[in-house]
Amino acid sequence: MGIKLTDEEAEHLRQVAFRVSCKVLRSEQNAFDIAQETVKRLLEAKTMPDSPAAWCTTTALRLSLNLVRDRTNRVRILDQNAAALEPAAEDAEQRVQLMELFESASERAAMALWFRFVNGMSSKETAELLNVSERTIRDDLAKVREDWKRRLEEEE
Amino acid sequence: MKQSLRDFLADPPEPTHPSELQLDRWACGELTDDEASRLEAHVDTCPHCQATMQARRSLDAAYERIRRRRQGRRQALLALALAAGASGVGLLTGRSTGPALELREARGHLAKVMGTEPQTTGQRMLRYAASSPVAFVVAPAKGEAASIDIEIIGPDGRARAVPGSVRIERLGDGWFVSSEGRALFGHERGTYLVRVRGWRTGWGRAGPPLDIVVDFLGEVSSVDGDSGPHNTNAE
Repeated sequence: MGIKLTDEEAEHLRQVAFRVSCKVLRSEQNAFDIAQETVKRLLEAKTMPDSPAAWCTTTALRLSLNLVRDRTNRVRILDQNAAALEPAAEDAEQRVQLMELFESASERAAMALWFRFVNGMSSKETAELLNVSERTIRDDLAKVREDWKRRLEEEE
Repeated sequence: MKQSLRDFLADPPEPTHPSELQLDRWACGELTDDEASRLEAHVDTCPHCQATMQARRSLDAAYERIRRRRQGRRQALLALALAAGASGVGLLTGRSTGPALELREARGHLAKVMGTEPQTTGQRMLRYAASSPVAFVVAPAKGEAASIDIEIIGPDGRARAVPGSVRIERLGDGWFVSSEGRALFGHERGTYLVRVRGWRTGWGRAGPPLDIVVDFLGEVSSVDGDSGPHNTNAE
């Protein structure tokens, strides 16, 4: 319990976590729960991270992906308001593809894909956030691509 | 998600706009003055980034809406819990320790712990009269209970439907269950199980079933030896 935040700082960070989680889960209620948990964990951390926003982004994404990667939740999440939240058919289809990739990819690869593809981060920024080299990020994404290709071929 | 996933994976491009994280760090005041000025200048003139900012504002509004709703509900339920305590409701609070839930009696002079079971099972035996209000809170030690399901198992060992008058409402990071004894158990005296099951933490982990053993006394005017909470398993 070594970290102190003002109410305003904590609220900003919850919003950071909420935005990340909401994009993954498309469920405002679940995203709110994750935002609360994320900041709670930050407050329980021993030392303040260099960038609390980055820390909350990573933690919220990890918690959200854990939910998505649970098959039961994934079905529920995909069903939940899917039509209302994804009016464009191609967006909905792409989202399903993303969720499938998240389920099969390693946690780091799933996070790298999210940061790079959805969050619009550079390889460098993603590598720093995940504490790996840029080369590792590229390799992770290449592996995701290969796995996806293989799956598509199997389906055909 | 403008670019298709397939195209992106074929050749992941480097971004030409600030990432969501940079915008977050900007909002949280984590950028240097120089970085903030550069980012602001870009966002001011970039239609793509302005659309991104608009989408962020929508999410922020959604966050604020839920925050206010939950805050209002929490205040209402806390007021209810306090009023319940004043009028003699047996109010229990439950907190899980590790994989199991644990119930801990908090207040209420009509509830009395009759016996103790191994703490890991989370069982407690309570006595209730028909007219006694019954209320308890179920919450995990970490995270939040995303949902719960209550089942009443009668003295004959058969499960009974939970009447609609039993209120199950969100309270903080758990659930507040309240009812009158007669609504929860009917009119048949005997030992009942209130089984809390199907609860999942906010992270999708299923919690183990929790049985609260209740000795239902039926229509009596008072509960023997009732002079306040008696929690023989108090921490």
